[in-house]
Amino acid sequence: MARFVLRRLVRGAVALLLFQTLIFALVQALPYDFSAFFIVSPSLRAFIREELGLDRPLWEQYARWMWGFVRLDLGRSFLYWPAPVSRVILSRLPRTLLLFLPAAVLAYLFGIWLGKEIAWRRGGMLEVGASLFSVAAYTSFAPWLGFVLLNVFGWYLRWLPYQRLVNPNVWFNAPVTVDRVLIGLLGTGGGLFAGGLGLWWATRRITDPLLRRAARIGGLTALGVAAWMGWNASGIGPLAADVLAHLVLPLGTVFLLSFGETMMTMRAAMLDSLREDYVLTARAKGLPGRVIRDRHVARNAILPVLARLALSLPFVLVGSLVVERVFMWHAMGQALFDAIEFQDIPVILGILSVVGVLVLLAHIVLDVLYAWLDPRVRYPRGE
Amino acid sequence: MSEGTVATQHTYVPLWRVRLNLFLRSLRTNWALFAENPIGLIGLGIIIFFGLFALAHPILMNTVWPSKIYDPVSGYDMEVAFHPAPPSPRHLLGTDPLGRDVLSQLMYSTRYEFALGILSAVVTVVIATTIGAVSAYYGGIIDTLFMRLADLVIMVPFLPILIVLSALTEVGMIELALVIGILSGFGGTTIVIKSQALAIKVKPFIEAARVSGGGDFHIIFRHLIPNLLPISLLYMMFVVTGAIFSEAVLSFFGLTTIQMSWGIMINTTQLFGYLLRFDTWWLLIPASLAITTLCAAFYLVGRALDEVVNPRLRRR
Repeated sequence: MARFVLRRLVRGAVALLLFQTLIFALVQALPYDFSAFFIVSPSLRAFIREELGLDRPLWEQYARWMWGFVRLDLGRSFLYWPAPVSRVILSRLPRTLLLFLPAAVLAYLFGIWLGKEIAWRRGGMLEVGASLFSVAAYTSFAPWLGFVLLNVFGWYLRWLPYQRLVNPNVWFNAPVTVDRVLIGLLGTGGGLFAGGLGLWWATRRITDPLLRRAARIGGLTALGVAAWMGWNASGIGPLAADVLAHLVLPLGTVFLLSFGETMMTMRAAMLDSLREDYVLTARAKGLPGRVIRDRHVARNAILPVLARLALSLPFVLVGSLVVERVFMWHAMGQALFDAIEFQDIPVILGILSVVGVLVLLAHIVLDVLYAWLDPRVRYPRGE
Repeated sequence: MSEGTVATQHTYVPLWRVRLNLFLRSLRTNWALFAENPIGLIGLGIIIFFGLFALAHPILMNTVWPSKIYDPVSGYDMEVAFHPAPPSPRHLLGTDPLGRDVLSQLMYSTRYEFALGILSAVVTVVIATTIGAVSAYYGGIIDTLFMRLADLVIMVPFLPILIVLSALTEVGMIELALVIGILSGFGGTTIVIKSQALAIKVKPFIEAARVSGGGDFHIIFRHLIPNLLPISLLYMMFVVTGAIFSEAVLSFFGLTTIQMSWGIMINTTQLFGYLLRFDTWWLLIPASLAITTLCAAFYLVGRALDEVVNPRLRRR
């Protein structure tokens, strides 16, 4: 097992090196450089280029960048000079995570549940309806979906505020920054999610289904009330409420855009594992349908779907430029777009390489998990 | 017993006719399986509708639509006072801010969306099937090389790469199709097809072909790849969806040099500030709905094909 992990790590390191070289080459291929955006005298332009290190030979820039990357130093942003790239990324992180992480998790949970249901009740109108709706949502053009939601809920029904991150009237003379509130909300959300999981884990041994359900619902309500009280006591509750109100529409858009694929994958995986012999055995034992569906079929079908979730989570970091544009929620996607537009090379490289590292880590963790669960994977054939 | 009766008993049937019959028979069975699923039929219906939609445009331009008014790129209707004009009998879907007919633009763009989707799907499938078959067949260093390359390609977020490329060169339809095709051909699709090829490689008929003296080239191209084609066709559908979608997003941000497409129509709407206004719905909704329905149609057909290709997903 240790040898397996080591081999995966070495392979990952090689892949990372190649990936860094690839994105460096790609960025170098951009037509002009950052200094071209200043209308200044040639001598001043030369000074800017010298200051940014753009006048050095390519191999030296590459070596410098790689050496910095190894020491976890991503360099300084050109556009926000002299802020380090890591600070630019960190400043966009809360709003990216607050929007795209809950959306991804919710979409996966809902997609898994719906996929399970329609695969179990195959051939009904529910299947056709759910498939058509989810695929239509999945292939919706994001600006259009955002437009429809904005018009219906923001403009026509006036239930929700539209556009921008916050309402300036509420935030006038606010004692804290937006990012602080976003981080607090993220912490609350993470705490609630972890608390919910813990509750599910703690109550799974209660045999009486009625009691178990009561304990779960009671626990969740207590968690929710605790979070509510905490925000009320903090004195910045209205600010958080404002952020949340602005969050609903973009979150709904990302959710609608992404749950369909999970649903279809889960459906196919369910149909696949329905054919297994142990399902027939379970039926022959006379187990109730719900138990067969949840304990026998879905348990096995969920593995490939969760693997996809792990592989797609790193891309949450890039976010979705389109959704960010439509809702004016300027997060990482917008930062990357700006960086490309203004040739802010360190920021482009920084964001892409952070995503690359996370994807790679997800791959390695998944490989190791699979190898741990299934010994056949550990030893390649013929070894 | 004369010579003639013997000859009629052993009539010579040419090989191509045997193959054609086999092909038609498998087509009939597969069609029956495909038609079982209403989702796939709905998708196919939408694709056929768009096909007819695209074909109708040149006919309309040559008969009822004078090209000075209805040309999708350079037309202008002088007799309408204000552009964008709402839908009317003269312009069934209204006009855009530059005075061009929206329906004509929509129909004109359809053929390019098809061309883009199909070209990038074909490029993807040719690359992915060849690489998948070759690296599954030979294994070893070739396999490692291509699979590590695939790992590398799927690490890169798709859209930023396209944005960088569009800053790099002029990105038209063909360049875009090639880039999408190459990126998805070397990336995720290869991995799926290779794992399928591994399953086929150990089948007895491959061994039989090898025993009867078939070379590597013969086995790969006459035995391995034909059996991979169904799953390749399935992935083609998903690539078409992705390609049309990427074109729309890139054009929406004004990063392509395409003259007219559904994404460009939405880009024009945005440039003139009509994007989030409900009173000029005809500028946004027809193009967006077209993108969504065509993408969804290919996706649905792909999902329905999945059930034809993969017997484990079929109904008992």
